[in-house]
Amino acid sequence: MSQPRSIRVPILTRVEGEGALNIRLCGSRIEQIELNIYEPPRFFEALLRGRPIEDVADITSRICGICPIAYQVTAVQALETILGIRIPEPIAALRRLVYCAEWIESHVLHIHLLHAPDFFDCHSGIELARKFPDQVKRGLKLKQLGNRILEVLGGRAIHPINIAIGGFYRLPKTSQLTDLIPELQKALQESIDAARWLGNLPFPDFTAPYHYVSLIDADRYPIESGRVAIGPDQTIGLEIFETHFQEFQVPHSTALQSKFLGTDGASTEYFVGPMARLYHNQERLGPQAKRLADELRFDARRCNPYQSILARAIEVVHAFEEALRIVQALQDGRLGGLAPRVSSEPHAGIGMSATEAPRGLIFHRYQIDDVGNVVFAKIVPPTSQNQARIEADLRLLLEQIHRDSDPSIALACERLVRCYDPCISCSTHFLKVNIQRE
Amino acid sequence: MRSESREIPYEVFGIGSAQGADQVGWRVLDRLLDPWHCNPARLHRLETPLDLLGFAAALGIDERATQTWVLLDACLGESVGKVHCWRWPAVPESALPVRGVSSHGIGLIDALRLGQELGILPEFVWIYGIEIGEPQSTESDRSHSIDWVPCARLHAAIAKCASNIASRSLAMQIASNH
Repeated sequence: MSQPRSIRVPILTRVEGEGALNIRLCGSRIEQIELNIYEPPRFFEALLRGRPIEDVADITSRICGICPIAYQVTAVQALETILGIRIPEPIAALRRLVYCAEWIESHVLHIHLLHAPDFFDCHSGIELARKFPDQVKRGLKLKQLGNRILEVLGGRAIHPINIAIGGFYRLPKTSQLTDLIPELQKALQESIDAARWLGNLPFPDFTAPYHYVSLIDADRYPIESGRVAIGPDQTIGLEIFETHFQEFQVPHSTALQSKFLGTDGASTEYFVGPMARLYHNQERLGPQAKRLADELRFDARRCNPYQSILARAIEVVHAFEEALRIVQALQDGRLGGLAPRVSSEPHAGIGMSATEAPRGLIFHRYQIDDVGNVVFAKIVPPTSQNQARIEADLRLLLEQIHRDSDPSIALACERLVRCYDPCISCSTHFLKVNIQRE
Repeated sequence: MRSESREIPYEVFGIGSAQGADQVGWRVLDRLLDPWHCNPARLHRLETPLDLLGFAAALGIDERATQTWVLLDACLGESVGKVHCWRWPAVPESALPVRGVSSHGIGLIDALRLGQELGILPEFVWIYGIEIGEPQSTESDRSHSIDWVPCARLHAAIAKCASNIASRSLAMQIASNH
């Protein structure tokens, strides 16, 4: 009879927020795997009820210090659909630009300080910096440029305050944008170099049957708009998002989990984020990012989650390419004389929006009353959607490594979880790993 | 956020947020903006210690060599309002936890260690730590923000820091002019 094994790993490092991982093994049998998010719920959806719609962007941005733009843009777009607002093209371009900056900032941080250490046998970003000072410095500079764009467009880098229903509270001067061009040109090349640095990493041999879900935007890489791709050639509109993606509660987590419900009634875990975006949209990357993906032979169909570091690196290149394209297009002064936002009169209605946060698809739905107060709000962040998939991955991994030592198992599990760049703060925070063997 | 004067490379970074006691670093910057202080330093409002490194990584070697940094941050300790001044790297980890009260789990000490490893810190880095109390004792409570206590001791500490920094930056400017 197998001896029970009980292992407790107190803290999973290098993820955003706080949670725990509980594993119970009995011989080769995996009895329990629980991504335990015990952080108290933050009740943002309830907090929004009764508030004027003008408050929504500022309140939702507080959900996350890493991806506030994703929350803000998704929120205002959902409200704009209720109000019938169509924002002018230059303002839509600025929204995309500020979103690119958030991708840059978030991805570069995760690549260089949180994820890359795993591939170079380093325990921390500090140890990685000792081995690769130039590469880490380059990463910090790239992140800083993302911050700068956020400051120019968002008013400040963290929890920006300039996104408004109908546009922005204040538009940047054209010169503020053109000043960015030389830095963006340089950063684009540096981001390509950064991706090449990661191109030959020894990725663990692990695959899983992923059901990738992301937006698909007609002719461009999806960031702030699109339909939801639920299969290789199948998309749905947002109006039936909640029919196919159902949130549910599990006893071990204060964050909701989510599963995909197919037309046949079968439910499954699904995967959102850069890997899913590239799976559905690799051909829509910018020219340089696309060439780079080909050069690195990146293929999300391999379904190896460890390659998500490459997916992020490719998306950083795309984000710089896109940012540069937008800024160059706005050089002609078309922002001059443009009202920063489209005004509107409130009226009752329901509206929804989905965008691609750095960590994956994010969905918002709001109902407002005829004076412009929120009656109902629903927010589905990426990490809570990936939670069930992370647990399924861990189960597959443990089937391979259950004979290993406890520290080795804990380390391997941490590494796998980090591939998802989970933002537990978003779904609510911190990760400890407890393994029990019986 | 910068003052008009760029005459001396004295950079002051307030690290924190608008939340609770975490805002003490920003409050000192607010005081330094008061013309009464005749403060010639450049002021920077940061929300995470990592932003400090982005600033550092973008500096040229010459700039880095001549700069003095002053970092303002909340620190843990029971004597609310007590002000510490350390010169990096002589900082007790117990006062500024390596991780636990900062986003990404990367605290000020982690960021400075990373900066040191990369060789992007100036020679003089001073840290003003203002004690804001202790977090809840249990580990699971460490991420909770420490409530802002608008007590006289904290306000006095903010004023003391601002006054001290303004005097030092002014003294440096006077010295550099002679």
